[in-house]
Amino acid sequence: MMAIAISASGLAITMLYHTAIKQQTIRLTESAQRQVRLLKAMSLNARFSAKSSPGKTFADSVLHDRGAHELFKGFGNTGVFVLAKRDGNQIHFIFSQTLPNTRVPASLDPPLIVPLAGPLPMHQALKGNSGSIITFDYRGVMVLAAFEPVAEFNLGIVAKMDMAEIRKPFLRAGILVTLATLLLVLLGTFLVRLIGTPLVSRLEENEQRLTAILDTAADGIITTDEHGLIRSFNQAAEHIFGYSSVEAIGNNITMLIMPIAEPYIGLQSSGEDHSNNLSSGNEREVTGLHKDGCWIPLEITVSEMQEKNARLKTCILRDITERKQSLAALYHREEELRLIFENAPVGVCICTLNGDILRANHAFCTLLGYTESELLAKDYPSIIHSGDLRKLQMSSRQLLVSPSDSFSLEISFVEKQGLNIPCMLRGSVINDKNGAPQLYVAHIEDRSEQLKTEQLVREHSERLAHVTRLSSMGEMATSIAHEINQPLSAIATYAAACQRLIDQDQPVPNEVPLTLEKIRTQALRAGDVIDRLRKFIRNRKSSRQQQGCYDLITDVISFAEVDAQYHQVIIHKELEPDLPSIYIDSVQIQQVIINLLRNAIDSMAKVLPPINKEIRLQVKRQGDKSIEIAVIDRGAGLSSESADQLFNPFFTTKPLGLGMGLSISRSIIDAHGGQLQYTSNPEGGCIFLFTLPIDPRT
Amino acid sequence: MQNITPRVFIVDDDEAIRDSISMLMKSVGFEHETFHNAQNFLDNYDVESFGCLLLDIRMPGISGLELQTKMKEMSLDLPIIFITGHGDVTMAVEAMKKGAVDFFQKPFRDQELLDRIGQVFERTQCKQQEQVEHQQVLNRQETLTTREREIMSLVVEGTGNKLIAAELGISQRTVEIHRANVMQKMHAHSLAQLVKMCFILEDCKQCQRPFNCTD
Repeated sequence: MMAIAISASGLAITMLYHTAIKQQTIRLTESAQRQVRLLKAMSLNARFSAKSSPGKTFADSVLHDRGAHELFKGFGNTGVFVLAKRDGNQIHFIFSQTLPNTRVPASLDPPLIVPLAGPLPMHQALKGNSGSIITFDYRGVMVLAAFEPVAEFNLGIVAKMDMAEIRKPFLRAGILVTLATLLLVLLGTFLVRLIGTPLVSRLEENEQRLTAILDTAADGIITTDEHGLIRSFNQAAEHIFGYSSVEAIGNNITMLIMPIAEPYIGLQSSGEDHSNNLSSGNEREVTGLHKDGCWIPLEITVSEMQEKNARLKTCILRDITERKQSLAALYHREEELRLIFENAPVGVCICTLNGDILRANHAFCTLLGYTESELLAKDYPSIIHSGDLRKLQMSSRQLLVSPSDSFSLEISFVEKQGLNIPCMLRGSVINDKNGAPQLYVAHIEDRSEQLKTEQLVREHSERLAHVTRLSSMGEMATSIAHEINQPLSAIATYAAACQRLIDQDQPVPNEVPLTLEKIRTQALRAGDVIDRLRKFIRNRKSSRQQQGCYDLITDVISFAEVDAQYHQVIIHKELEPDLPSIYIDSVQIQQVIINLLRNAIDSMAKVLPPINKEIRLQVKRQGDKSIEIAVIDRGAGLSSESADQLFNPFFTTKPLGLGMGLSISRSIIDAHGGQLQYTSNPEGGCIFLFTLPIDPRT
Repeated sequence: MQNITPRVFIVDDDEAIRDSISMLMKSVGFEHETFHNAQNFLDNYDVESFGCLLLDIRMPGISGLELQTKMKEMSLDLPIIFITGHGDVTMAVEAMKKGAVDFFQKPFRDQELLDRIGQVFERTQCKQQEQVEHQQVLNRQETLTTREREIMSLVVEGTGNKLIAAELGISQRTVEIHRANVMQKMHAHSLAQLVKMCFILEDCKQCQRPFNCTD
């Protein structure tokens, strides 16, 4: 570089030098020619004015010329003007004009005479030639000389100048330039070292970094020119498309990206309109084509940049297969969750903390009879039974502050038709990331069925208890019957045996009196059994107490209600006002009434509408001393034969009946000093009525 | 011929019942035995004896129905009349299904019970008579020679002497002699009696019933 700089400056200097020489040559030539013309003019002048002799003319001319010359400033330091005359084979220098400091004296006196054979420019001039030459003069100094002949006087004029003088500035300039160049180069080098190297390294670093970024970028980055030809192709792009960058670069990007992908059209066309469509940062989904022929879902961001004259497009591509898959999976999961939510067998409802319903699933909508949109438009108080509202609000509020994450509440919802639906509501709160409550989730389970089941279970257990009670009564009755039957049977058999013995036409055998004794024993045994039974009943009397009719009936109905509801039978209470209290064993009397009600319910179970399934439970005074309680049903009724045997033990019209209920009931009423009777209902069905004495103390 | 008279076996936990029934049996002259429970009966019952069992259903220990089942398992073929203190239809049905003769509810009418026992005894005796007769026929058949048996079976099929002779390849005269021997050995006074005996034999063969009263 330094060499180039030096040679360049050298060359420039050389050219300038040559130009200077040329100019100097012209100047010298002109100077010489002027001198010639001057001489000629002076000679002519002399000739005209003096008409002197040729010799004198010449001498005058030279003299004049020398005079002129003395006025002539000459040129440069070494510029010399020399006039010489040929004298045979010798050169006779007449004068030499020079400036001070010259080595040659201005006038040559005596004139210097040199042989013509010298290699001087004067030689050429004296030979009649004109021109210029660079040569050594008589001093052996290289000069630039212009020579002209003055043919009339056989003179030659030479204007010369030392080459050294001409060269001198150039040499100096050359040295200066070289030095300056050297200095500059050194300075430049230094500066380059000082500034350039870090800059370059930084640039290099930047470029490396850029390349590294490009290559390590997770996204495929492709640059194309305006025609869509690929200029660069990073590693990620290689990975996405399966092409190496070498394979890809130079191809059209349509090779990689579905041409039908509308957003990409802009990349292929050079039209302004399309590129406007592809504003930078515009993310679109396109479909890419892998080398192996698979389609790849891609997300593309196109940006445009101007590089000199070309417009480049940078496409940042992201393989969104996984994202798509995970989106699909997410969608699938969400769909699953939605389906779970939607198809949950229990009602699920999501509310804001203010109670606004955000979502409600199918089960909940169905439960309340609304469509989801209807339900979302509802205020929560309008679908909850007013009595339960406060309870729910309290629990919900409690939930926000208490550490527990859910609550359960039995509340009734109001469905579209206005009916109450008993439900179990389980409320919980969904918190956001910071643990702040965000939403309520309520699970609502219809308890109608559950309640019905519970009722059934309760009813069954009641029934079971009832049956157990009855069957224990039955058992007792059976064992009493058996116990009485045994002696009776023995008595009958003994008697029969005696009779047979007596009937035989023989004297009465000895066994007969013995057997009669046995008969007596057995009869007493039977009497004992009956006595025991009486004692048993007498023991039961101890639990009698005063009892209000209303309370009695209320208790009874609460027991019988379950059974009645199950069979969809309505029990009407028909109580006279101001009923007196009665003195009874309330458990036993309840048993009697329940037994009668149950019989009535059973008899109506098979009855079909239009007859209303109604039982009337009437209580009224009968005279001053007793009240009458009647159970009136509209059931199947009884045949007259059945009616006759109704109160016999073991008589029953029910397939699973024991036939003890009425018989025990009658004995209980009897024991209370009342009467249990049956009459048929003229409207169809049965009427069982019994009387109970009024408590004399009231 | 069997000489043992049928017997009434009374099983009841109530002493008065046992005693009164035994008295009743005595009054009509039925042989009887009393047992105070089922186990007692099983322990003392003589398999050789026969007659009728009067059985109470409700008893401590083994109940009447259980005893019935046990007897079936033990192949004790004794007709059972149940007597119960209380009417229980299901029990009665079960007892009857298992082959009880009758089901009486206490207090029972003595005549009805006695009649029923009488019927059972009669049936038992008939059966025994039959068995004895069968055994006699079998015994008589044992005395026949092979040739006589052949001729007997042909005779009862109604084959004439001539044909029998032709079939067996013997003379008609020989057939006649054999035939007379068969009639004599089988104590048959007529062809009809012989045919009847053959039916009995046929029955016995089919039933393969062992006759245990061969004394």
